[in-house]
Amino acid sequence: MARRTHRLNWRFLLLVLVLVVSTGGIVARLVQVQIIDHDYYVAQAEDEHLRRTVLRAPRGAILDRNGYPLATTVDTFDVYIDPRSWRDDVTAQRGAAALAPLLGRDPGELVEATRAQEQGDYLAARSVSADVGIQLRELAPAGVKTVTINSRFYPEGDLASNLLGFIGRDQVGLEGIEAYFDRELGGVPGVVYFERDGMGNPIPFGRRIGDEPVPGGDVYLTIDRYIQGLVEERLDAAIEEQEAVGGSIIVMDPKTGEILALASRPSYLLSELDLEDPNQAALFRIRAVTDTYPPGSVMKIITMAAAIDLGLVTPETTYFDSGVASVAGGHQIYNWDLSSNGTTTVLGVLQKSLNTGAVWVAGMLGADRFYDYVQRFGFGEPTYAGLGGEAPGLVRTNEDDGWYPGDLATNSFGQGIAVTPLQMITATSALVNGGLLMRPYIVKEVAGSDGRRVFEPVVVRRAVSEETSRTLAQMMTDVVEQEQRFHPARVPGYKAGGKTGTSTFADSDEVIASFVGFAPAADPRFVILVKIDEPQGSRLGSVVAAPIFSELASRILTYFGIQPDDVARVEGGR
Amino acid sequence: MAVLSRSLERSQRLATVSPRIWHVLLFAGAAIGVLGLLQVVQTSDATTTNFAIQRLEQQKLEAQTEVHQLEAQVALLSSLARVEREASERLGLEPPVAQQAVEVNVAWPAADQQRLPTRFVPVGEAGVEGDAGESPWWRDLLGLLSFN
Repeated sequence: MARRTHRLNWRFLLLVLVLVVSTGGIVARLVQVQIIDHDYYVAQAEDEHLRRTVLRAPRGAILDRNGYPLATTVDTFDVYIDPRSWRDDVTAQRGAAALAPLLGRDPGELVEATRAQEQGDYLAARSVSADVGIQLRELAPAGVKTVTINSRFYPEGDLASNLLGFIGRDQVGLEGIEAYFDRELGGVPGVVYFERDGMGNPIPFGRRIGDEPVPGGDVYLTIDRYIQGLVEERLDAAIEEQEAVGGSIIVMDPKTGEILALASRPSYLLSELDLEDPNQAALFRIRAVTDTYPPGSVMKIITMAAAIDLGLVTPETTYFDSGVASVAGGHQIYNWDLSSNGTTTVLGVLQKSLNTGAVWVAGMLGADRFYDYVQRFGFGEPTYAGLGGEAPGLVRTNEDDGWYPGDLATNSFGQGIAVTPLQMITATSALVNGGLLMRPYIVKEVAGSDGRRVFEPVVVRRAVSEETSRTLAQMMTDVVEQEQRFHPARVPGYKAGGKTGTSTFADSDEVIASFVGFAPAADPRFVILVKIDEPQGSRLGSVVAAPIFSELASRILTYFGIQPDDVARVEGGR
Repeated sequence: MAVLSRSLERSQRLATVSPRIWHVLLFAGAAIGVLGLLQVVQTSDATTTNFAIQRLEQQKLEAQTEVHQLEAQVALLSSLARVEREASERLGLEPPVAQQAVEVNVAWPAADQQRLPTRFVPVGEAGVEGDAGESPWWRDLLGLLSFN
């Protein structure tokens, strides 16, 4: 009896031990699952039950300075077909019969293409119009899904294509304003989680959490669509007339630095944009801010401004022009027309665009003071206008390696120095606005869901005194309005000022003809820079670029409603 | 005899009790039935409402699409090309061939201060009170359209 009890106790204890170990194991596992790995399993369960959907935010519009839209958003639809739904012949034929006419495709070919799709849904059409998309949703053919896509719509057609840029399929800005202001335009996409059933459909009254999308803001540019249209039309015509390879025209408000119009060629048209064409990539950059050129004789206004600001010369100061200037290193510099003009005033240097006169003035300035003024006018640094890929230009000063004393002479008339058209027009604006170097800007205002952000004019620094500015503006006016000869930049009825430039290259026959001018002379409302690259007819800025300034200035003055300087007086009235 | 009368008494008591139990059971069954029916009604109502919600969401999306289409239409109506077309075809205007400016001895208002008729001026500038600053671009644009 005692032995039996002992055996029973042993077995009992073994059983208890097994139970305890098993229970302990289960409890340990429960602790691991429910406490230690709690978050992991919750996430797994949520992932199983909840479906995540990203809701795209409608992209904001890009508008001109007066509120006219240049780019807006419209809904288009991508059409997908589920190949599994079209395995059945009857369903496939019915679906194809409904779908094909709307997509302009053959029903048989549509069924064949759908069935050939091995994985995922078949993309039957991309970016179909809203009308077709809505019809498809109402028809709801079996197995056909429509996905809403935001597409860009350009009410002004190809106007300012290069400036506006474009977006990719993922709605992200890739070039131009679309890229530089992508954060403002794009808004914040919403992410919504909802409980789903086994088929992936939302469960009635199931959980729905997340944030709705925040629409993108509208970006108001400083561009005026009318002036932009004028500029583009005239630039394209000039390039064709001159058989040139390209060019740029910029119109700026000198008092604020607002860019009223900006066009560069070669470029692309939004209507002909093909992102898969590698040759188009070179057309994407905005050459007026990314590419540099030697400004040529336009630079003489900077040289003169420096000397006048320092009190070294006045417009009436004279020098003797022998037609040649000797510079360090034994080099000789001639006037562009190989002329010698004898005793000439500083004003005459600008009027006749004499290289020898600019070299003489630069000699008085000296390298330190000359390059100090070059930098004061913003050359050698980006303007930070808000446009991507901006070049700082190339200014080699007497403090840099590889600088030669002869560089001072050539730089004084715009050779051996490289600037962007935007830098040149910004510097000219400083010369005629009272001497203040303004930061150019292209975006005036961003109106988002969180309010309006207005961009104000920014003064970078004072470049020259007000007095010097007045003197230079008058000298530039005397260049255009000189009585001795007709200047092609003259604007009928108004007084305007400006300076021509013809840039040459040491290693090629290429030439760049340019003109920078302003109007009206008494109170400049705008500055225009015209640059034509490699014209095949005349090579002179006065022949190629100045007439373009005249035509544009005339139309812009009328558009602004500015009273002409030459008006017939009528007595009487009130 | 006594045993017989006790059994009779018990069966009589049962006979008087059992109708009550049946009533209770019937009531409980009916209650369960009603509750079940309510559940079915509620579920079908939820499903119907869900379908209605989905349909309304669909309608909302379609309405948004239409709003975008209308915005594009407003933008197109105000485009330079359309303005030029209206000016030349409908109003018979032509670009000026020559300009002549005549000054009369009446003070010329500065270009910036010239007041345009209200219908040509953006809503905010026209002095219209309200949320002019917050209005969408297309609403401002509608005010600028002169060929409505």
